[in-house]
Amino acid sequence: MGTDNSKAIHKVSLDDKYALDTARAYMTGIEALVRLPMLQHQRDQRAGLNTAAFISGYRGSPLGGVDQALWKARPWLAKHNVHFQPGLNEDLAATAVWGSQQTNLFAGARYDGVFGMWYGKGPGVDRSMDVIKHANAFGTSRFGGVLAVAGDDHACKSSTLPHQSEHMFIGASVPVLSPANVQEVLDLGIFGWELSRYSGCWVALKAITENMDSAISADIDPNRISIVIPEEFQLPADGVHGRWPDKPLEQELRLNKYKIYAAREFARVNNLNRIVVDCPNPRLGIITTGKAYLDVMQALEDMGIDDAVAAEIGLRVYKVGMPWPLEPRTTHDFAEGLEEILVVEEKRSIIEDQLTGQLYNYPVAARPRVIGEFDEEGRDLLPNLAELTPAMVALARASRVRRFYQSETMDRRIRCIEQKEVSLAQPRETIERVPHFCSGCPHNTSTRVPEGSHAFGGIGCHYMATWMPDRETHTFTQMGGEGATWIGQAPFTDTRHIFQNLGDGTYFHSGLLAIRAAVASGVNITYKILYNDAVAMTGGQPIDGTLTVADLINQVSAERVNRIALVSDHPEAWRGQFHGVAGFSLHHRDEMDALQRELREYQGTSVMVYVQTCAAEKLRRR
Amino acid sequence: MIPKETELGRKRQIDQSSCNKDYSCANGFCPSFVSVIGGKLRKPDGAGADVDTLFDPLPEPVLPSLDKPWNTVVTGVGGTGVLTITALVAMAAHIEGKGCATMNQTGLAQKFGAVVSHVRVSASQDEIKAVRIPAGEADLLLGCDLVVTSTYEALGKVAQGRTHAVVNDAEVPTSAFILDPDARFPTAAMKAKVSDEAGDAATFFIDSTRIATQLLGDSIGSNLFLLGYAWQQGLVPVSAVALEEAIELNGVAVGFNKEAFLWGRRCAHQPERVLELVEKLAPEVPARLQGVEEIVDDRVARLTDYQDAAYAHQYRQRVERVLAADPRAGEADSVSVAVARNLYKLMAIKDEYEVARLYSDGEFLRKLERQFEGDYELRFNLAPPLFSKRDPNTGHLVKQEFGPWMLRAFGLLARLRFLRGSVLDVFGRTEERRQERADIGDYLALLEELLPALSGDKYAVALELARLPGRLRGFGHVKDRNRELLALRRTELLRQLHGDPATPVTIVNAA
Repeated sequence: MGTDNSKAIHKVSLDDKYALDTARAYMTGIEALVRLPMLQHQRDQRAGLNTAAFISGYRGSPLGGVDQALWKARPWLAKHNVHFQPGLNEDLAATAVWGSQQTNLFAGARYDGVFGMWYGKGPGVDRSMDVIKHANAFGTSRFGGVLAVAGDDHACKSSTLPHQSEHMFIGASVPVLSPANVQEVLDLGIFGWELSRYSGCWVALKAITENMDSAISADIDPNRISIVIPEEFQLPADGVHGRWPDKPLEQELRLNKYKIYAAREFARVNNLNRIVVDCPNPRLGIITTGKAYLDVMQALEDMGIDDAVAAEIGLRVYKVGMPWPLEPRTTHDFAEGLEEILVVEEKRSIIEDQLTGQLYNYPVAARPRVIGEFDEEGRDLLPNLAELTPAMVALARASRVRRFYQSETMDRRIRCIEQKEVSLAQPRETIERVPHFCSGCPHNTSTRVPEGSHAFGGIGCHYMATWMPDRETHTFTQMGGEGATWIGQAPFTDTRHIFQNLGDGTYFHSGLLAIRAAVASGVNITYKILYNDAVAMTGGQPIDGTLTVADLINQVSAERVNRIALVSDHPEAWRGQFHGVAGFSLHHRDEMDALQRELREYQGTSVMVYVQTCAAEKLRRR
Repeated sequence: MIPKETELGRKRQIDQSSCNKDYSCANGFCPSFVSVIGGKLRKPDGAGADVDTLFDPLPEPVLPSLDKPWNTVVTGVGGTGVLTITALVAMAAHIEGKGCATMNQTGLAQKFGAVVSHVRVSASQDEIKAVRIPAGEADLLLGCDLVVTSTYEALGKVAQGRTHAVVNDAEVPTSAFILDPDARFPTAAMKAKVSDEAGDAATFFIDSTRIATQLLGDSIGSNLFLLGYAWQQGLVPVSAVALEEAIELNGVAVGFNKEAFLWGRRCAHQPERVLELVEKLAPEVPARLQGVEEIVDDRVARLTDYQDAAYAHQYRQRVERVLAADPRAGEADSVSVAVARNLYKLMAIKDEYEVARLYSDGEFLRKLERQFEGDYELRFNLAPPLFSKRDPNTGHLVKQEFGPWMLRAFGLLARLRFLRGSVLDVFGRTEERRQERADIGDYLALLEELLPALSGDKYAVALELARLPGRLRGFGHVKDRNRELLALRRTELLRQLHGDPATPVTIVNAA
């Protein structure tokens, strides 16, 4: 079968990924994010800087396990002055990270600078744009800097929308770095902080499912990256960093005139974008970034296009580490003399639009054709949907090259891909393994709805009720908007009342405000707050603060909800506890049907608190 | 709750390894829920200590060459440790200083959803470009779950002539089985799909769930068992020593996991010995009887125990009457077979006597003893129609818990079953029992209507009519609801049987 390649066994420990002295460790993308602040702190110490790090954000796939990884690494984080404070939600976490950049503006700062890391899933980026725009315009501190890690679920594997955050960051003038794999999460992460310190901007680090839910044996030597600080670029006399007092129009001037161009210059002198495949007389270019770059290289390998063949077809590949803002000078050097450029990037265009803009003023004869989402006849080439695969890139590449180059390996690969598509397209009798509530999950009972009523879903494990045939649970909202959609429907429908599912994690994150809105609007709605003492959907983390059943009931009562029913599998545990609460009643879970029939007749907002510990969590705690 | 195939059709059983002690299942309106208080799940003693002598020493296979990255796609059910398999292989490769990369596609899968995970191992790290395995470039498809293995996500990576597929073909129910009692598990179709893509020569199927459950005591060991099974055939590019080191590093159920891996290796090396051992521990559930004569004989014996020989004889006469008029009596899916099964089901009404007999016939306690150990006490969750409370809102009978003394009461009640249908039969007067006796009469009347159709072209309609009682499930209000649904279907089928054209619906023009 092959050569004997069982090599000597290396002594390995799980702590390697955080211990100082090792050079190589097996780590996931998420663990790379945890290692990053330690690496940066190590580099600062070597540069004689006494810095600290502040991390905050909110969990969500593909960044579902960041907080658990950070808690596990607590002893190493402490040694590197890394302080982790989980956010109540994404936007308040971003506000806290903004605050960390103001530490050195006032007396008492104990460090030369605090560098910040914010993390959040796509929807988290969206809800935090107000903060990010303010914080980016305000600017980072001299020896601080901010890395905003955005978790994008391109193929919508575990989200309510497929996500791509670059356009949001472009809107806030925040430069975007796009790592291709776990190694580049480490490398570009370090560049990110240095870029943020130099340019005064927040810097976004794109974290896609492919990199976060994957693991490699990574090189974690801090000296792997050497930073070059631009000399030619003219910074403003008073610098680009945060200051107080400050004026918004001065912030805008610094941002639009200096900080963005400083970022581009930093990218140029540090080779964040570079040509990775070249040949004597290039005519076909590929410009690509992030994971798409790996798909390109894999496709080339699969089609047998090695250096020799690349030279023959005149192929030049340009890998972009900072897709926005696209640094023009190195891009110009790449485009020089090419007939055609194929843009390979996932989802909606970031590079293609900037590239065509930068090429526009070329003399027509010297201007290469640019194709990407579409070819020159407008036919689909690399669609902006879900995810790219090496097979799709191979088909696109082959369709362009076939006009003047033929090879057995390429044809065989294309045949194999096409044949595979055909054979798998045949209809076969198969069934689907659809996720469901765990055995003994409280949602099995709590999401039931009485005859004639229906419920709205929301964000959390209970969202699964929306695809269960026997639950009459339809539609959902963004996290924290639960119930507010009903405010816009109630006045216009004969349906008198709806139930709204709301997890305790989501309630604590932002759902309380939706309840306040419902009360204010006067619509007939019953919130079924599912208190299972865990944020189960992302792995059963505890709530980010304390929320006892008593807190929940008193808070909701204080919001002028005058009908609150507590349902539990052990009601006797709560007997006699909530006398002072208006409209309170206590029930065993077997009375759910009768209770809901009463609640649906109640005028205004009512709340049912269904208390039973998450089954998966109970299993973990047993 | 998962399906359990029996001679009398599909029943239900509790999957003890996934139960999270919520106990709301006990409210299910069926007399079969018994609480075992104080007992412990009896761990099948696996194969016992002497088994090591049963197997020859295991040869070391030649590991796959790494002149180009060796790509493995692992599929499985969320929450059963599928990601652990890829992580162990990758960590073992890292321990050996090789290049490695894993990529997990999970989504909400940790709740019994589909998991597909990729692991690539190479001589050095920079040989691995894309972390995700490209189309048609899998060297090993380790299918820990047949359903997920037969999806596009997994088979898209398979190429005939390159990929070896090692697949667990156990029927692990999906969530659809919870709501649909007749959900089908198309094993053959899915297995064909896999072997079509990988080629029969390179596809190995094995029921690792059943083997792991018997030899290791918990189905959670089936994934690692499958890894050992593939490793022994030289399909996993890391050494056993490195894998065991990775298992120790992982630090979870180290002994159990090593043993699961070892059993997988043994099964690859000496499959017949392992399967023999498993058959001894838990004989395969025999397939259902197919021939109409065997079915009738079996049911006559059951009805004799149920009531008496006379009652059983009535049943035989009725079936033979249909048999005589049925040209396709010999075939497996004939009206005769349907009548043999369904007439029995209606006649063997699971009334108080029958529930008592089934609990006290000794077989129930023997089955319990095989499943639980320790000094345990039984509690029976029942809602006997005669003296149970009714839920004020729904009007349905409410279940209560009865102590161990109930078992003795069952013994007495079982002996009184000769009273069934007599003037002294105190249980016979309930509405539910009267309706169940009427069901028998209706079915027999229906059979009379079907007899002439058996030789005509409406055989298929007659067959579905004969099979209707198969879907008359449940007790009390659940059975009533099913009966109403089946009545609608029955009227529709009867109209088809008698050839009345579907009468056009006349539109009443509103005032």
